[in-house]
Amino acid sequence: MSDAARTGGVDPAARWASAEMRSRLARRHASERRFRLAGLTAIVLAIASLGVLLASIGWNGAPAFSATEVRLDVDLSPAALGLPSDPTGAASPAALHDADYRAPLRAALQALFPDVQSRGEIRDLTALLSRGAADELRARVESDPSLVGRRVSLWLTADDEVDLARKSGLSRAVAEADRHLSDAQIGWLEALLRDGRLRAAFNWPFFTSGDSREPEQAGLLGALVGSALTLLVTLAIVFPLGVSAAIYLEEFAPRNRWTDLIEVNINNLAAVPSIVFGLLGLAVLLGLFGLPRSAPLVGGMTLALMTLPTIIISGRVAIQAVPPSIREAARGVGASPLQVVGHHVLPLALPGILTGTIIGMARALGETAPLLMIGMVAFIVDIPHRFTDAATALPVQIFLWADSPERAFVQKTAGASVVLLAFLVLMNATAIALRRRFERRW
Amino acid sequence: MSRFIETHIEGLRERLFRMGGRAEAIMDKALRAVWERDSSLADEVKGDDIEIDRLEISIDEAVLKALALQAPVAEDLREVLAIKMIATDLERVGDLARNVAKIARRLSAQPELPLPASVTTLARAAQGALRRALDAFSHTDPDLARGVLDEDDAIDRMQDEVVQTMLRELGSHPESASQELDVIMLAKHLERVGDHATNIAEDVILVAEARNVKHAAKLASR
Amino acid sequence: MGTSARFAGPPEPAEAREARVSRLSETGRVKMQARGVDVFYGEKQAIDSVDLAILEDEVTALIGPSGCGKSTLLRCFDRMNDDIPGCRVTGSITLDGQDIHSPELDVVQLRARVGMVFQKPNPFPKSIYDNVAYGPRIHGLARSRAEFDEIVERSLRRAGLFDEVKDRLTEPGTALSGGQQQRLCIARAIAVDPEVILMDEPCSALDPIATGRIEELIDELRGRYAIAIVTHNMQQAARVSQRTAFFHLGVLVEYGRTEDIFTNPRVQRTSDYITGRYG
Repeated sequence: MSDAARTGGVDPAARWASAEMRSRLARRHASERRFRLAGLTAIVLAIASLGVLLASIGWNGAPAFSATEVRLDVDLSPAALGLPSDPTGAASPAALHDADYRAPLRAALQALFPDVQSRGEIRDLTALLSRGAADELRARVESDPSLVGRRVSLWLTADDEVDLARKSGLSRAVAEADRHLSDAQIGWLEALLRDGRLRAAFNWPFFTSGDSREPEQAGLLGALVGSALTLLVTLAIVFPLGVSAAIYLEEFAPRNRWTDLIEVNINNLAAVPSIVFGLLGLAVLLGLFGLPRSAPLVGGMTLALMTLPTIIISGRVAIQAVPPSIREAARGVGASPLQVVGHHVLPLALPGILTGTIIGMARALGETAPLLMIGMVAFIVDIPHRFTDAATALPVQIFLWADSPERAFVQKTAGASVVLLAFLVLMNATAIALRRRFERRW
Repeated sequence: MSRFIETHIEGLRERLFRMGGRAEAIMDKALRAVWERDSSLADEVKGDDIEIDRLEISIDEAVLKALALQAPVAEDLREVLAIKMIATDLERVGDLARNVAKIARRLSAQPELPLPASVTTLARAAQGALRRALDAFSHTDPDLARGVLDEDDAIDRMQDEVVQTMLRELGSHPESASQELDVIMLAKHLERVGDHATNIAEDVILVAEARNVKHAAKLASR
Repeated sequence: MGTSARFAGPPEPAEAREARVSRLSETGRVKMQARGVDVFYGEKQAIDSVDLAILEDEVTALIGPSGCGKSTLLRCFDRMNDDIPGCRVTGSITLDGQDIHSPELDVVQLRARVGMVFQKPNPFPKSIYDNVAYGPRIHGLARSRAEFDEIVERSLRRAGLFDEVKDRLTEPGTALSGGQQQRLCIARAIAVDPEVILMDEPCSALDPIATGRIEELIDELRGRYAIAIVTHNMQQAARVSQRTAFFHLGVLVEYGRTEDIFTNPRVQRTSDYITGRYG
């Protein structure tokens, strides 16, 4: 029987080649192309936006990582330091600490620019150095008392305005009245630059010192330690609680209306705005229990409340992902329910739980609102040591710096944002790497 | 998988060998009873035949079990079926031996009639065919089996010869008619033994070569 | 007893049932006995008034169409149904005469005495050694490393797997082929020295060669353990078992020696099923 006869008179080959079929095919291809194009456009837009954001943050923040230093030849003779000249040699630590370190610096500067005589000019000259430069000198002498009596060449931090000026190439483009540095100051800086006494250096204080009113001295260490302590508290609370809750809900709880209610509530809690948790912390932890304000302990507990639902949910998902056949096999061999969970389910679910925990911690790292509510927003200079010391956290520090009037803090804000983003990217990348590595388990 | 069916088939083969041995022995005894005119030997044959019948029933059950429980295929299936068919043939041989024994009793009760040499030859040929057919089964040797098939015509001719001789004797010595008729019957029984040997040989070829060569002559002549 | 009306035939009077059950156990020693067992999933009845014995040195096969309850009944023998919410088991099930539901019998210990092998091989994602050693470890059956080694080797040998894996005991159990994994699961069940082994369609996920090896293994094992096997493959039941129980819609329709069931079943429905005229 021919093809045509079988299909009732229409030749199949002809049917599929007809003009109508061809136009249908063309239309289908066209719509598929449009769909692909739409998807591609969406991706390009998203990546472009992200790229613009990252680029602008990076561009603004990069300068924060470099500082300006001035090289001075400082005469550290006991007389210059105002130390009693002691023929026996070494001065006492107390005496070293109380010595005058501003005078040698002034002397060194004046030695470089002997023309500077008037009081006002001298003030302008010494203003080129950071106000903390004297402290820097003190620190160096205290750590190496043998420097006393010598003439040493040291690199010392310059003022934030000098730093900004150098980063804009010591330009006089703006009128002198509108500038922070006078023409004379710029002239001195140019001279220092010609002498090779002005350089850019990596801004270590950015990471090693606490907050300060002086922009060039201000650093992230306090905020970093504060964030670390806070997250430690959060982790210590959230991990055992969250994992235990997830295990109980998945493995042991009976399936009835109550557990359904609990599950709904946990899901809802995960979506509650973080500032609400801040209010909760304020009212209960500070108001009811009277815990110290601004302490990482309280911050950690508040963030723990916020992160707990997320950990429980991701924990449950990880536990659900363990195939029931493994549980059956364990039970069949005679394992008790606790052994099934401890020997089989938990080890297999652990990578997933860890991933969820890391992501939760990353979120907690970046939260500002609840910490503001419980007062971790004060200006803290000292690096916190205990969980009950007053502290601040990294995102809060960014918020504070963004508020400050000095121009240099703009850079620092962006720099701190870069650091925060770097941490977040690192944590999330770790989470993804962990997940990938443990995925092909069974 | 293989150990289950192998166990069954080994059991079946063992039973069949026993049956074959008995069949050969019983036929031999019955024939000796004829030549030695020993009616006590003839009496033993009946009991021996019952043993053969029991073996056939046992093989029936075992074959049923093997087919139901093991669902054999290919050579295993052919072997199981062949064993059943050969058992049937051997059981008939047993019955034939009983008939030969009856002839022996009758002949020994009457004056001796010298048996022509052709009867002896026929008896030897039939017994030989049976033995070789059983050997062919035991070794699953189709060539040996074909040899048995080839002998069938010779056995038929020998039987014809004995019948012709006895018919002539019947004409010339009508006083010993009953003995002569018995000898004719004996020849017929021996020819039947040859036929059963042929059947067995055909079953062996079925097992070894999956070819059914039964009724070849008849089919060829159509 | 009410729903025996499900298959055509008057309900069996209790004395007749007793007589039949005790007759069957005459020829073999009864290891586990189920009497009048009903299983309910919520309101739905899955097993109706079943009497079944698992005998020593024998393989008892449970056959029947899908959904007839054979797996459910099998799982009653090691109380695996306890873990299913809403599942209720009534009636008596005994192991060596002792009721397995009595509070004196710890269900964890029961499962060491009555092992189970599942349909899809499910080795733990641990090393082969740890898979087999897990049971003895949690039941405290060995103390020293040497004792564990001995148990692992013995169990793997009895499961016919030792020679293939003796050089790679530290490799994960999941790296083996399907048939090897199932033999590993059998070794795991054997390692706790059970008295009964329950197998729930152990070969249905395996290819014919692997299936054949497992069937041979089952035949070897039955001298040491009482074995009950659920299978949807009637031919397998015919090959491997000495006793067969045919289930239909939760009712035990016929129970007897395998050769009798397959050459001359007494109940029409059994005959319809095994000849393929039903289902």
